Amino acid sequence: MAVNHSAFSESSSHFSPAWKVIARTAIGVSHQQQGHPCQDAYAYRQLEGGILLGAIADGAGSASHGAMGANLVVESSLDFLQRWHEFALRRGETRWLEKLDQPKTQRFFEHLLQRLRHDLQQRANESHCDLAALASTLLVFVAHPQGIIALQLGDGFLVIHRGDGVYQLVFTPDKGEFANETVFLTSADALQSLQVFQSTNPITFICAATDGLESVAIKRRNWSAFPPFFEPLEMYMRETPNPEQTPDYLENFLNSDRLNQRTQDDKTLLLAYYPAQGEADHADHTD
Amino acid sequence: MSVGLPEFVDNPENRCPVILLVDTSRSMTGSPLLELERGLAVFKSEVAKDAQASLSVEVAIITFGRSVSLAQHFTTVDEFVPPSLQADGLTPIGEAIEKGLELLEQRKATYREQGVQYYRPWIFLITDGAPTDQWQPAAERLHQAEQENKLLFFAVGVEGADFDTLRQIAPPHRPPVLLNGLDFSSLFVWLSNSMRRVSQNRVGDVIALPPVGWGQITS
Repeated sequence: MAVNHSAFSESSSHFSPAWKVIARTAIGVSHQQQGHPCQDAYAYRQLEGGILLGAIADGAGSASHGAMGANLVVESSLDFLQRWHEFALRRGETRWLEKLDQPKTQRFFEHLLQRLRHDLQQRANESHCDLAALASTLLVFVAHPQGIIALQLGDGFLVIHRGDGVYQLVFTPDKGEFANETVFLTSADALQSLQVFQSTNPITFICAATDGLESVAIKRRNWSAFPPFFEPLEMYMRETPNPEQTPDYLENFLNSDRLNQRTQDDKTLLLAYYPAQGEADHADHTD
Repeated sequence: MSVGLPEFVDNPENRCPVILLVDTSRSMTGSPLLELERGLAVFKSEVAKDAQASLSVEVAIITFGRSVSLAQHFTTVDEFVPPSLQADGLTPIGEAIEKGLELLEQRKATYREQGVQYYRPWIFLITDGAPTDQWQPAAERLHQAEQENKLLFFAVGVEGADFDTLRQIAPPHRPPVLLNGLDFSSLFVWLSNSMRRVSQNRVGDVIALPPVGWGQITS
């Protein structure tokens, strides 16, 4: 089952969250038919200072404990990121995120990857199964008022909008030669397959999803985001004061016949909107 | 609030490519070829029953007898018209396999150009005889491809086929199957059911193929 976390930072529970966020999972048609459990997982947290942590994972269908693996990696990722941030704050490095360039971001996420593999191995030992039984993909981002850092391992997609009209597909999903092949955290070549992104341009809207939605949202011929898919989602986020409290639009969409006719797999969608930046964009465009 | 709904991009369907290498040597004259043609018609109608498979499955047919020729280029079942086959000549299995592998590589290149995703391809060899050409290099290429998980190769022999050689051509873990009489229809029903499972396959799932009721696995 997907895990919904919108826990605030423990170090300060009295701040107004800067981002509007909502995430949902819908079970895929083929899984319902075959009685497979859902193996998607997601988690997100807001930290003081306009920081949003997000993670999405898709357990491998062939992995006996894929759901466990997926849930573990999203939680562990956010724990790792939160602890790192708190540690940085204690050292007075309040702007550590902004100062990450591409090589530093790469090293940072490699560190996270090692941590996750360690956690997975430990869980595998406890559960008396192979590491491979916990196989899952992973997509993680840390968004802040000045930009974003993100990693992707495997398939799924991350699309960002900076309010300039361009929806950017951040990573090309990692596919093997054949349809539905991908790479996992537990794969031997995980480190080489890790994709990392870093940008210091403020973000207005973020959409992260598992593979199930790729065929309807991403143009595969040139690996680009399909704007008519994302525009209504961004508008929903912009217009809705508290999406988590009015999730009908998103839930109806994810469970719609229209969508289920085009997709078979589990679908997880995480949407985030940063009103402060959105308003600034709007002000720019109305001069 | 009247927010519209996300629109969907048009992506091509994932493809399941299947290549049939069909023996049209002289000994296939009459009932064998007729039954085979009937089997192809069954294949089309069976695959057409499954909405997903009928969008995904692409079949190509290479015949080998007097010559090796492309009797049917890759087509989805809705456009597939089973060709009528003529029997004549010998049994150049080696050349047929080489042509099949080339055809496959060309198709993959096309897929990549078009951004089309595809499942692991299947190659089916159907013969009633023994190869009359050099088959060893082709068999080696096949075994290599199988080992690298690049394709799935099935050898089907009609009664009277040279199974000793077929056993050397087929990959070690998938020995040739002796067809029950001329029951190509059952073979093609099985193939269409298998294609249906492939087109619904998730990551890394071991596909449980339907039981082979149309022949006996010879090992």
